[in-house]
Amino acid sequence: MLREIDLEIGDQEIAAVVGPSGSGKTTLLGLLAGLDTPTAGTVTLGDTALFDLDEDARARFRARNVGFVFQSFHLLPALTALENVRIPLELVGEGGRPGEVRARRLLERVGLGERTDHYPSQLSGGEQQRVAVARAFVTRPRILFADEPTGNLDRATGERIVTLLEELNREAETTLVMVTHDHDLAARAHRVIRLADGAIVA
Amino acid sequence: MIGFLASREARTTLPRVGPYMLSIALGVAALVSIHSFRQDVARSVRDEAQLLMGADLRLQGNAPLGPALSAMIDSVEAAGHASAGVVSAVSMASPPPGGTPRLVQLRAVEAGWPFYGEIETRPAGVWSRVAEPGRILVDEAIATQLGRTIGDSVTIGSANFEIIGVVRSVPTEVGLQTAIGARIWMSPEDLDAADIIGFGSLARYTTYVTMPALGERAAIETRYEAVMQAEGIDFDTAVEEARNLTRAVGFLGRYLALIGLGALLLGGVGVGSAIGVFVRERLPSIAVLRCLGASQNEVFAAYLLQAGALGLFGAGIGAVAGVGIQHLLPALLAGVMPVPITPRVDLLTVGAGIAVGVWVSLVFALLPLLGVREVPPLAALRSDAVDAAPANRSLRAAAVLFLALSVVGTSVLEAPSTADGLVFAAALAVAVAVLWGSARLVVGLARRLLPERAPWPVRQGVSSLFRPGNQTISVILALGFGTFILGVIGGVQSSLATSLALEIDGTRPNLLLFDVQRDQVDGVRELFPDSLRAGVDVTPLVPSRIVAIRGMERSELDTLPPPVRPSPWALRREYRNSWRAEPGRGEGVVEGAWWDAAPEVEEGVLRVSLEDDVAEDLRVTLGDRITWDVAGQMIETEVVSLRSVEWDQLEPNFFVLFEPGAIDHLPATWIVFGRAGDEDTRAAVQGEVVRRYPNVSMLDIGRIQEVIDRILSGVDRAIGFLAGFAAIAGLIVLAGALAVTRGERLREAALLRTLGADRRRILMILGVEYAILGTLAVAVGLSLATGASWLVVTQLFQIDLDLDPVMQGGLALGVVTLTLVVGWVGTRGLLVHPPLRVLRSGE
Repeated sequence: MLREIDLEIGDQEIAAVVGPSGSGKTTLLGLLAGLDTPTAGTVTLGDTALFDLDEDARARFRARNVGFVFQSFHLLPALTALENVRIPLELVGEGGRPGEVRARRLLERVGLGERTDHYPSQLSGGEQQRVAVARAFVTRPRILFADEPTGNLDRATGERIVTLLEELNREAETTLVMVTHDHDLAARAHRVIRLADGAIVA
Repeated sequence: MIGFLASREARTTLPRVGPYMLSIALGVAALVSIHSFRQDVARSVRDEAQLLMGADLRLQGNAPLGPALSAMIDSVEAAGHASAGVVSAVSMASPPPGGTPRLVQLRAVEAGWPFYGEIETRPAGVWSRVAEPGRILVDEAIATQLGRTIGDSVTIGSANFEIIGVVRSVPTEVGLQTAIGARIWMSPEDLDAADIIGFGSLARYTTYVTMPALGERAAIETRYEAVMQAEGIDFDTAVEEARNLTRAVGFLGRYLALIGLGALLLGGVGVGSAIGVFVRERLPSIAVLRCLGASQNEVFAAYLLQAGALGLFGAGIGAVAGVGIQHLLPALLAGVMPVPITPRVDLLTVGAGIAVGVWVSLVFALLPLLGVREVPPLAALRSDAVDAAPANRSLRAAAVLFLALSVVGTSVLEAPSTADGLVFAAALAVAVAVLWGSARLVVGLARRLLPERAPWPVRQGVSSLFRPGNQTISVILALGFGTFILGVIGGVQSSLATSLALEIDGTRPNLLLFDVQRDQVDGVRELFPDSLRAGVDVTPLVPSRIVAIRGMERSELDTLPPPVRPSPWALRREYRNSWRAEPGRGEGVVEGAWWDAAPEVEEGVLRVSLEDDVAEDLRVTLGDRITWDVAGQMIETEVVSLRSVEWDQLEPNFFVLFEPGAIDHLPATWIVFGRAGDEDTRAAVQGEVVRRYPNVSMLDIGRIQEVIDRILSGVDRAIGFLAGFAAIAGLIVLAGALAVTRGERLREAALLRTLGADRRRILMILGVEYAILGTLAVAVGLSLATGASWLVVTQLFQIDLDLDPVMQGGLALGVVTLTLVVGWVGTRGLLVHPPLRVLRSGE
């Protein structure tokens, strides 16, 4: 899928990965996040070489340092909005009272303070994605990966999500890597990485 | 259109739902094999009825035939039929010179017997040489009891005999006959030579006759009935014996069939949930079909057709397997069956099995398939439109009603009687209702009692029990129902085993002597070892017949209207009454009072106590008079108490007890029942009894136990086999129930992995949920099973419930472990593959 990728993304940078379908954008994202294993090569986040860790150690590393926003939201349907946001905190052992307060505050920050006890099926697409954004930032990750975050949303709602991502990114001093088709969205990034046929062309 | 749709769709249906059809196959296999085998036994017994007796009819009594019957036998022989006499006597045999003697049964056989069937011997073919003087054939047991085998000699009475062969099987004798003692076969001349049949010694005289024509047998029975009754001769035909046996086997077979039906219905539940999962996966393509113009009914019919075809597929496999098992069963039950069983495939039975299998598949598929009708075409465009579709309530209610009626119908069809079938169906309904209620309760309690302070994986696991889309109810129903069926099979089995165990170890009596005369009682008692003599129980037996009740003779009583007419059985049977000063261990007065507290009665009338059931059969109650014929004397009695008796106790118990003292002068024989130590001591006691009191008969309870154990282990194997069917069906159902939410769970676990949960935590979340589900299902299932087992053993078999804690514990542990394993295995794909793939394919 990918070949000869040599890529460095700076701290607190906002990078957009663009390219036609099948160019390897999502594969690159999966590798950067340690969700998939490469046939050759390394990925280093901060000081940590991801593929020196085993699957479980990478999972624990993700819990502390990595946030995700997906195109199709991927909220747990059986959990309320608040419970969904609390999951990452539970995973790093901060699920107690302070964690709940923090999760609530973040939901208020994304404009869902009134809907904390709703289930995903009771929320609109834009609202679900805002829950997902809150979930991604709740542990103050060092890096956040977003896979077509506006792909399933209408233009206005997508616009709101992107603004939210930018704001939170600034506030939390997070690095942001997003895969997108959307040229307007890519234009707002500090840096655009263009892929074609599995290689970086610009 | 429907056929086209169904056949195209079937390509994807078969691999997805096919494996679950195995549960239908299991149930059908159980039913086909049970019914086929039942018919095999019935047919074999009927065809080989003559083998059961070795003849067509048999005259049997405690004395040689009198002149009238001897003349009858002569005339029968003159008419071309064959007859042969067999004299059976109990004696002692010892290895010369002067070794420990053992109790044996002698069979002096006239040439020709058995007329039907072969007696298997070792070496083969030596049976006919039993006629040679001084030569005997023996049971295998003689080798261990006397330490003598082929070629050795044995002393019986006043003569020595050479063992020329071992009898391996006698078609006419199965089961308990060997309990009295090992058998020795010899010629009538040799029996005379041994000189053991003297005055008062106990011998049984049997005359076997070949007479295949029913009319001739009936003519003899009618013509000589009075003579035979006067001489105390029993008249039996092979056909009647076969009929009794067939009836017993048929009855047992029908109860076993209910277990098979349980397995099949369990399979139905599995099919239902598998189809439910499948339908959910197919919703998008069903929506597309609807968009393209397929009607609700066409889509529904296409899927129903597939369910029927799959049911046929499963039932077909099951029928083939059932026929295979049918051919294996004769070997599995070898030694238990009285005649060789020849399997024959009965197409009607096989067809009925397949039909029931297809029917159950269709009926259980109906409910989940109704969902297919309700998929709106709009769902092809908007996936959330499916949830908004209104359910057709009346159709659903009709499907549920149809399902319930089908279960009741098949139960009644398979059960021995309509009432049994209804009880079976009701028990299933109660089990399902209680399981469903418990599952609802768990959902509520888990929400209320969520442990806030527990580690996150525990909280997450517990809350999976009540969250939207939870699988609590379906898994508890499947698991609990499976546990219930297995628990009932186990509970009934262990209760039967316990009730048939005679508890000969320890302190219980193990030697039973009967026909002891009044002047022999003390002498017999003296023969027991000193230390055990105090526990020896001596009970008189008074053979009696009822002459009249409340002054009405038997013929008059027969003309009474049914509510007050005594049952013919109770009125005409020969009673063996007794007298007793104190109530026995297993009995208690339920009406009236024991002798000391009972009212006095008229001079010359004796007081009696009746067992409550027989009193009901005789339509008598307190204060009624009964006239008895005791050895020709008329005894007038009045009922002063009714007793309930625990008949399953190994104690002498009686329908009717006389007041002691008043009839001590009447003719009676005594039963002496006591413990006589180990096998060698028993042999010594028996030896002395035979020497001093040749008229006394004996039963060695230890030997009886051995025979019962042998028969039970055969039955055990058959039941275990069926339990295995139910267990495998249960496993498939569990897998089906878990598969319903598997996709959801996989996605959930993948997301948790992405967000940073390690393997251990995911396994723990699943583990907590499945452990709770499994434990609860087992607890409820086993409680229900205990109730149902109690009902079956106390009402049907009339014995006490006795549960085997090891079996119950094993079942509980097994089910919970299996739930965890199946649950974990279901998500193993996720732990092997990187989470991203699951997340992407899940879209």
